[in-house]
Amino acid sequence: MISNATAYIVSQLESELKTLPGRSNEIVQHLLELGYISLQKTNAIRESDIALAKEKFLDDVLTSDLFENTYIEKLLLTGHDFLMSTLLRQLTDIDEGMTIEKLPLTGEVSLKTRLIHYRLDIFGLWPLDIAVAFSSLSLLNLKEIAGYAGCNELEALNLIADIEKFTTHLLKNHEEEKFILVFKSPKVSEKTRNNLDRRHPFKRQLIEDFGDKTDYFRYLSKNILVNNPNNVDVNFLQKEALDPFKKFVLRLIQVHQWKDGFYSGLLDSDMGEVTLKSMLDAIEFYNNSENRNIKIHRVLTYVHQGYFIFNGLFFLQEYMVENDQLTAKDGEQKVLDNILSQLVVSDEQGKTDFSSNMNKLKNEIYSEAEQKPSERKGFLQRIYFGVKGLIKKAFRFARKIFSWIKDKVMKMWGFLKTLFRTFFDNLAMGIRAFVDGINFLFGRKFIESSLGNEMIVSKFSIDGDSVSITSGQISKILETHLQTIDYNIKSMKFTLAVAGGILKLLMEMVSILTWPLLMFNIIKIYKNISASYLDFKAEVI
Amino acid sequence: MSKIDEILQKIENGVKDLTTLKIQTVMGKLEIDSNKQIDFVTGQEIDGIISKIDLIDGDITTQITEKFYQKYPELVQFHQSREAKGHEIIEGNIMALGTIVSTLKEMF
Repeated sequence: MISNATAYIVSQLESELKTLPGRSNEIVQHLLELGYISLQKTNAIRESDIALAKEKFLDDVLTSDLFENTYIEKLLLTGHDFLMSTLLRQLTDIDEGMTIEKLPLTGEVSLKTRLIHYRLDIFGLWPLDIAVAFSSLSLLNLKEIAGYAGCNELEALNLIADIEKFTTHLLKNHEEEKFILVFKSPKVSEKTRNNLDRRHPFKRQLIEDFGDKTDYFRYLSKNILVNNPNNVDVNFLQKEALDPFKKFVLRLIQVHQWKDGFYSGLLDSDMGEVTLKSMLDAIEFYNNSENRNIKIHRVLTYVHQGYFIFNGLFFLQEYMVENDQLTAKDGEQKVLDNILSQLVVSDEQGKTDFSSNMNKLKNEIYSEAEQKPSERKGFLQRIYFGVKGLIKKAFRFARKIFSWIKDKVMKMWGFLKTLFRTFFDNLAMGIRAFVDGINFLFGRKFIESSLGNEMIVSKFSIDGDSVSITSGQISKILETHLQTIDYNIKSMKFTLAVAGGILKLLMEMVSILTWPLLMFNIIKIYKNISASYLDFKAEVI
Repeated sequence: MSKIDEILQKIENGVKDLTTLKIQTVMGKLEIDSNKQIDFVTGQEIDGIISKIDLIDGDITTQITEKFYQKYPELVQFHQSREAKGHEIIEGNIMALGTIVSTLKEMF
């Protein structure tokens, strides 16, 4: 039915699918983040915990007022996994997160209360289980953020779901000196301390930036950034390091760093070696991407007795806030188009290098996606899966991304991994839909459900369904199996539309296709067909 | 005829041929064959139920083994639930094939 060349590509795509990151660990991470699986279970999660958590989550989604039913139905058309991961990503999004219209009542336990506790947890303000009822503590901690932001609790809750907007809001509403941050990092090595002891240039820069505008800056110059460390006013540093607002801003910076892929440690407010390194990496990254030469002392210096001073104002304004009003969707399209256009005109060596390094990038992303979420010191080791904010930043240097990959620029590699995680995720979804559709057309589509030694296998083809069962003791999995069949049947139309699009591409381009070109086109087809199926306001992530 | 036309033609023929829907629920020991496909172990007695639904006149023919009927009522019920959805399934399949045809045509 299909040409040999196309059949070959189909089998290649099937193999390729096995090397692309899946969404199962991501789904588990989000279920942990929203308290559907207890944090204590993280390092020993059983399949039954996951199944129960998914079921409870979907029940909560259907009874909450956070999503329209029509939206859920449309998502279901594109597959059950897609439904789950899209809803979970939307809920855990802190780039352009969901707006909550009304605070819950005390005692309420719902998806909304979990979402509130999740957001507080991200900012280090939730010490309890995410799943507990909304309480006076929930309100108190929202009040703390509202106090910093100068707004009411509901506004604060919605502001922290858009971290960039929230940061801009804080920068506008607080004096500059509130962003000159002091923190104690006693475990940082002597070597790092010496390396980061930039008191003199830091002081000169501070005078250049702020002069003696306020008593605060004058005091820093005279009593903190002094020649003899023994004359440093340590009491002042101690007091500053305990300032609740400044501690909160430091946490905000850690969250920014995590979100942008510079920081892969725990979200624990601990400004240790890993967090410091992430700050230095960010400076180096932006220096390289924008041909600038920002020195470390512009941002950071070690002072004395484990204390550091950090110019959070410069850091946030320069690196964490994107003023361009470009939407993430436009940004992604432009980044992809830019890479594609450079790929097409690149010479053979360039194409080969790009293809090989893209493969390395994919393998590293795959290895990370295969790692199950873990718990350390009572914190969840997690990855941020949203890329909206990052894509807006990426657009600034879209033209450079092609050569960063082609030349495997190591300084940019961490950023590229974060940026391309979604890219490969979309590729996997596109190929999966394609393979699924082709298998259905050729009567090779199977759905398997198993429990212990018992198994049900359903085989589908256009003129009938057949079910094969290992024994009569399978009543426990019958219901789940039926549900899986229904999910698959509902998404078949979408699957075949994607399959049709990719088949058409293969037919037209079979003689000139290179793997990267095919990959980029599959993503474009998948995203375009998704967009036409999911014709609603919320963006597909 | 171009390859894409061939595919469209075969899909359209497939849709026209969809006059009978076969649904079968069968039980036995399974194994994975050399092509990594799951299939029944050969030489064993297989119990089950097969329904054929004629989509033109609506006739449904069902064959069932006695043991299956007597011993596994919940599986008979499972089969019946698929049978009851027979028209829905075939309608869905025709629509799905229609989708691939229109996607291919639109993208030409």
